[in-house]
Amino acid sequence: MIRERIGRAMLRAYPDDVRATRGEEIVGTLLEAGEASARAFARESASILLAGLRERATLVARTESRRLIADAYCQAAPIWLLFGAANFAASEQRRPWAANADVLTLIVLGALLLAALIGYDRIVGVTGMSLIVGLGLVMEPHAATRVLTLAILLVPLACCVVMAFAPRKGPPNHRRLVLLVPAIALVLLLPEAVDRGTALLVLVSLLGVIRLPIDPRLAIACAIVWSGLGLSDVAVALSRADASSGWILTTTASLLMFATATTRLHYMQRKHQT
Amino acid sequence: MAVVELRPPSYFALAALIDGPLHGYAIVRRAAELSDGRVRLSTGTLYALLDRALAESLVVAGDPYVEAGRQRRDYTLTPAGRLVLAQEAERLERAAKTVSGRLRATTDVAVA
Repeated sequence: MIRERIGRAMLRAYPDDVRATRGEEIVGTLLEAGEASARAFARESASILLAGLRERATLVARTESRRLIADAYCQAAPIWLLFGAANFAASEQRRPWAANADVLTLIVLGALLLAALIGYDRIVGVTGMSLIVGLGLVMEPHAATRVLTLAILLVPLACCVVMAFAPRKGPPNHRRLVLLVPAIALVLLLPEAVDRGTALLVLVSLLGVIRLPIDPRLAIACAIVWSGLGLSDVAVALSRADASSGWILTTTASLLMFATATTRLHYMQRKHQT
Repeated sequence: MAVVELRPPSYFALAALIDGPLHGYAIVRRAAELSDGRVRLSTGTLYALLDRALAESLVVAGDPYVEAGRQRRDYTLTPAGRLVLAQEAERLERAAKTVSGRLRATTDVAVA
């Protein structure tokens, strides 16, 4: 029984459709092949874990680059919202758009975050687009700050446009809400001095790097979020003409992640073709 | 038809089906038998290569059934699969002949 459970756990490495069509059969063969000894079972289990991950990588390599980039934009939205909500909840008014902190904004951010995580891409995209355009119009009419606002909202707007017009394929998945548990725990446990949004973003970026061998989309999504932060940091630094060096960190992180993720993606696609 | 080169695991997994349809673990056992124990297919490798063989129509999969409490499915070699297998066997035979021929020729020289 325990072996069957381990087998099923390992099976999760495979993409959903493979699991649905041949999952039972693979587990059956695994149990039979691993019957001889605990060592044989461990070896067989490891083999299906690796084969499953390889299958996922093949699926990614087979997908069109444009679709992968669009997916990354859709994945960037919840990361962005998580970042925003965390910073907002901690009411660190470091970023200008978080200046008018109030409960309503937090609720809207939270609702959008939940919807984006589950995968209601079109709803999030259209709502986000209207909010951003509305916010852009309401913001101060000074030419200087308009450029600043545009710089800050450009990347989130791009995410919303992609979500509205090229949403991810596949049904909404409520199980992704589980991802909020470690995020909330982190926000609650971190000491006051730490910038929660950035800490979360660093953590998600690490996850993205870990996933690189199989699926570079999360890393690209993180790069997109970093680039948005970089853009707004540069704009803020320019408008205040101060010597804050935060933008160096964010733009470097963004460029590094973009470079690593796209290099990996190209390698996967080339390897798949041969 | 393009020549598909078969690596030893695929070669022996397909060869396992020459005598008739087999289910997953039976393929593993038969492939080991046919290769004198040299090819030991792991479950992961087996299904990866079966997937490829299915995609290239070298084998077809039957409907799933339950036996001894386990879900199974029998795989059957297609005519295309037989052809690929025959081509590969011929290639290996030629390669073996070339090498043993050269070895024999040079041994004669060395002895003489």
